[in-house]
Amino acid sequence: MSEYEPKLVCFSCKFSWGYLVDEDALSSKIDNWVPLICTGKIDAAHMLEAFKAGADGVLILGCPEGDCHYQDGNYEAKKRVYLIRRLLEAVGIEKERIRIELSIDPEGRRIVKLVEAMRQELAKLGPAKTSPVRERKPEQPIATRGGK
Amino acid sequence: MSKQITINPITRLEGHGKIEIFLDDKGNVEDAYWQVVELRGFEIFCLGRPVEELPRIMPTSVAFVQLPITWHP
Amino acid sequence: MAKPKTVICWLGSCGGCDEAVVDMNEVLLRVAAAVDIVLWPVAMDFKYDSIKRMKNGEIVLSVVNGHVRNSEQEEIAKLLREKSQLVLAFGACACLGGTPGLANLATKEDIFNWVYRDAPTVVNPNGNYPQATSSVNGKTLTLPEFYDRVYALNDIIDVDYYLPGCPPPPYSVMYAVNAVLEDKLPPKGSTLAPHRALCDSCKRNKSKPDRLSIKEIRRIHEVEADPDTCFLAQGIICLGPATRDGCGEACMNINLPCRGCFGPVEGVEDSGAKFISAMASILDAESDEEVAAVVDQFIDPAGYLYRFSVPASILQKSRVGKQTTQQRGAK
Repeated sequence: MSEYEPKLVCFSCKFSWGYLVDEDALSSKIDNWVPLICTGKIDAAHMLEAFKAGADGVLILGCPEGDCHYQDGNYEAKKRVYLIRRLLEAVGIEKERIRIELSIDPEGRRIVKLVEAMRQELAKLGPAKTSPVRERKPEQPIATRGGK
Repeated sequence: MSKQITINPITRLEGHGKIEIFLDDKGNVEDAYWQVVELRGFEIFCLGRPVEELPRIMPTSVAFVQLPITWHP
Repeated sequence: MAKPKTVICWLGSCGGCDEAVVDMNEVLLRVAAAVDIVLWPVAMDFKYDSIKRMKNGEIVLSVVNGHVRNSEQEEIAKLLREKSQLVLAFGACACLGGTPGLANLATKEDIFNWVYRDAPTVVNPNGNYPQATSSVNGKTLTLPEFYDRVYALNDIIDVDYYLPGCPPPPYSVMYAVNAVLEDKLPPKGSTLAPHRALCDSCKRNKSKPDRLSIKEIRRIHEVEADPDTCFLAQGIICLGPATRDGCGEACMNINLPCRGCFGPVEGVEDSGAKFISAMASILDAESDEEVAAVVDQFIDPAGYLYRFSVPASILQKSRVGKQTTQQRGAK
């Protein structure tokens, strides 16, 4: 197997993250980036699907506490992440592999930095121990904008 | 020429098994083996479950699954 | 005209589903009169060889219960699929993997080491473990290969219909039997149970407040549950919102919360993930500390969320084995 390159899926809410820059330009700098409207839309199933599809980690970037356009979408996302972590521990996936950050970054510069920082942590953790049946193809992206 | 008779599955009981019978040249039973052909690991996967949930998990090992919750017609 | 050939066969099963068939009581006599049962190991003495000699499609309906965990179970599942026009996955194990699917949270090594070496009652001085082939007194004996994980039936063969439940309730079985006998089956791939969630018909539903909001999670022995109030409203985990309706609230009627044996509602693949989303929305917590504190009370997430459905879940199997007692130093 070729050298391990951690794959990270990053969801971010367009209301707070990267909305001042051109999305296409930013997406060329971030692999597996899923900008969407409201992290509250990320179902627990989507988070698990990312791992099943080959992600070694999931990063969710939501709006600051109290600033969600839909009132509590970001809180819902946070609660789901904490619950998912308990489940992931039970199946042998370290809880550090899924993170949620609630903050604001209009120009999207922090997105790139946060993704890179988490990829380095994932590099230390090693590949996620998800389904052994699945064949990993390193060059295949896990997630693309505008649909799976 | 000795012969082997396989009875598979054994029937009319709860459980999975087979019986292998080995006959000698005269056609008498020389050896017979009964084998259980399933294993699930209930004792292992019950570890870590809350104890108050066990009464609804353990009965699913052997057809007492209806015991805690007898169906009302 | 010959009666349609029918099979009722168990794979990795406890026998409860066969019992559910028998629980049809007198109706079973009507079924027996209408069909020709050619394999039913718990009740009749047919062998697999007689099935192997049949033509493909000669069996009209195979009702298969139980999960697949070894090579013989896989072989029989595939044999029945080949010889049958219709295959019905009967019960939680066939539909989702069942409670034995919880073994996917451990490893084959964990199980074998405990059963054949570490359990306190084991007497195995030669350290014999089951082998696929072994030689005893010059005779060759074979055992099925024990797989690394539990599979639901549709992981192994193409399934035509699903009848969920642990076990499926008698009226549910009768409905399915009638549907087959009268040729009134829904489209292939259907689950023969209502599409909506259990809450839809639960009598406690009326007691739910407009916005469910709980600060604490309670285990079923920690509180005397009120028999008329929604369990979730009392802080007791109940998988009703994420579980398909149709069981008649057998558990609720004896004051026990739902554990999800009917599987996900129509259109959902993973009921546990849906329940996580539902649960998140009823937890009254905002700050990191509050959320961490209440989530910590959710003690056995995999066991609550996927009691019957680990093999059918998105994450399927865990590769990391649980600590054996030997490692914990208990021996």
